[in-house]
Amino acid sequence: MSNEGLIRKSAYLWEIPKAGPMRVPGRIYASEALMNQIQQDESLKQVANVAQLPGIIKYSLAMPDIHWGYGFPIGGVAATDAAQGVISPGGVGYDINCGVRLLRTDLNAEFIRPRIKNIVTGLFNNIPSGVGSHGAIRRLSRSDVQKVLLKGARWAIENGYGAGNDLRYIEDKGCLDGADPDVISQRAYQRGAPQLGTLGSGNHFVEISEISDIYDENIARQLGLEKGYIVVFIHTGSRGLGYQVCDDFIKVTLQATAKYGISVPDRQLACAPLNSQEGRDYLGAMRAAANYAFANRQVISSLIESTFQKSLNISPNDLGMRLIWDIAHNIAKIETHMVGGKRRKVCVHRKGATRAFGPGSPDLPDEYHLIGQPVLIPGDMGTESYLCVGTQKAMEETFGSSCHGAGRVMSRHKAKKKSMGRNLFKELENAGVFVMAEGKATMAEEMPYAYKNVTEVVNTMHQAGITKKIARFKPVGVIKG
Amino acid sequence: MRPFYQLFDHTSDLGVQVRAEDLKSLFKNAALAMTDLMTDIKTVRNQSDRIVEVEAENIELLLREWLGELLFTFHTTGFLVSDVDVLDMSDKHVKAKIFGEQYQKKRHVLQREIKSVTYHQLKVIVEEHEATARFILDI
Repeated sequence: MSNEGLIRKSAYLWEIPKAGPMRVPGRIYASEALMNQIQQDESLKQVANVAQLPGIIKYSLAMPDIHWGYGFPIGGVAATDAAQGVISPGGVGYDINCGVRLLRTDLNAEFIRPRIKNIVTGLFNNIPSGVGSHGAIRRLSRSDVQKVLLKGARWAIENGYGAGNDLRYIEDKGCLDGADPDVISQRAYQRGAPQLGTLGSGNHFVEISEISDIYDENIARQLGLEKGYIVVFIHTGSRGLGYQVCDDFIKVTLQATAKYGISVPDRQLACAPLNSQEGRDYLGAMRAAANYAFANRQVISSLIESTFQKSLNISPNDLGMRLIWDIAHNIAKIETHMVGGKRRKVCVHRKGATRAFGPGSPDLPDEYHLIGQPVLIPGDMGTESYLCVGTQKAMEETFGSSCHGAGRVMSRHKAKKKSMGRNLFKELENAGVFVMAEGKATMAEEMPYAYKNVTEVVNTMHQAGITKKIARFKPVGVIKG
Repeated sequence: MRPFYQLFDHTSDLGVQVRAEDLKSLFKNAALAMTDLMTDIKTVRNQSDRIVEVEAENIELLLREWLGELLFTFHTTGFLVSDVDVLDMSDKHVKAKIFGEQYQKKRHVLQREIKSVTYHQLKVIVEEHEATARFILDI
């Protein structure tokens, strides 16, 4: 999309004015340098396309990690009216409740560095990618999967994966209400049964990082984070079950789009009114798939904890592993937000965007009530990741949402070309990151140069006042599916 | 990458362009391209076969259904496609015999997992002596 019509509202905010079939303007958070990158692909056109969805409120929003996706841009946020608006499976994506969790430990980075190969190898062996293979846990029956879909992370805890206290630190306590296992297809059950406790491929990973910088000592201390200590990031989602739910419901909503006379500029934006049977069914299925993802990350957390204990031969007490937060960044949620001075029920689609509720939100555990919700922003595997917290301004401007990562800037195709003839594992190891990867092409496609500068992305949201920077992490070891 | 397909730039996922002399070969080449993006197709042997049949409203949706079906087969049974014999097809229906083998970790180097075949910018163009398809795979 050309920059014709793009208006700069402030140093970090741009607007695509309402034009043609757009129902609302588009708004993009970006520095000038990031906007120059954003304009190189079709993501701004996608922001304008999303602005055409019936019932969309205020703006079609995009975070600074925005890039060209399918239908919605990755990094897109759209809130639709819960009574009059639509829900779009393309606004959630194939990997429903793809998300990130962060675990803290009592391990010092100096202690871990000489042992990193041992730990990464242990994680690589104990956490299967699940591609063409099965999960680390027994194959589930249909009724087991149904329980996972209804209970989410609680199912994992009840089956011995982690502690009950973990639920406090998961978005929605690891379980979305209103999940409906009856609208999940047999195909989705088939795909989901063997894959619980698997990482997947693509950009999914487990990353061991050192806390390299603290920007707010007070909040970091309350979260249990101290410079020089080790944390673990997990990035994965609902695996084949979620992909199948999305596939199934794009078909349903393609028909619904025609049935309800809705016009969308891209088949992948197919949608259904939230108050229609099709809309309700998708919401129930999407919530069920989201719960599968919460359970998946809970199981993987537990596998990580036991691998660390075994590899290092230490007690759970010495390890001190504890969940800081678990967020969803591909999801649609019914939430209440202030719109034009009035409380309004909306359906917030976050496609490659993170919830970022500010202090005082009733959805946060007491410990985080004054801090705001932790926002986890992993970068690429070679550079750095961040923890931020949500702000009141996020509640006012972005329906309590922020960025979810660095965001790709280079196509997989180009990144792979650039990686040809290079020993990527060695390059990363020389940079202090020991990596093991299952998917050989994935590794080349996910190299740091394929991504935007995550610091620039995070700083944009910090300067815009949407999220506040708390800590930075440098990777030490990574497993990729 | 093989001569029967090319990749085009898409920032987050994988854009694939396939050419063939007719529609039947186009569907075959699209299937083989997908296998080759998961693992080197030269390593996939013709060990067994099965029949796949799908229907859709038009040729573009049919291509998506076809690839989606093969992906589902891989994800649930590990079956990798090495060759395709399209038995019968129209713009709304395709029936084919697919040949191939089970994925084996030791034999097949996994390149990447394909999550799904998207509808975004999905295109099938049939001309007198050439058929072309463009589709984007979610990675």
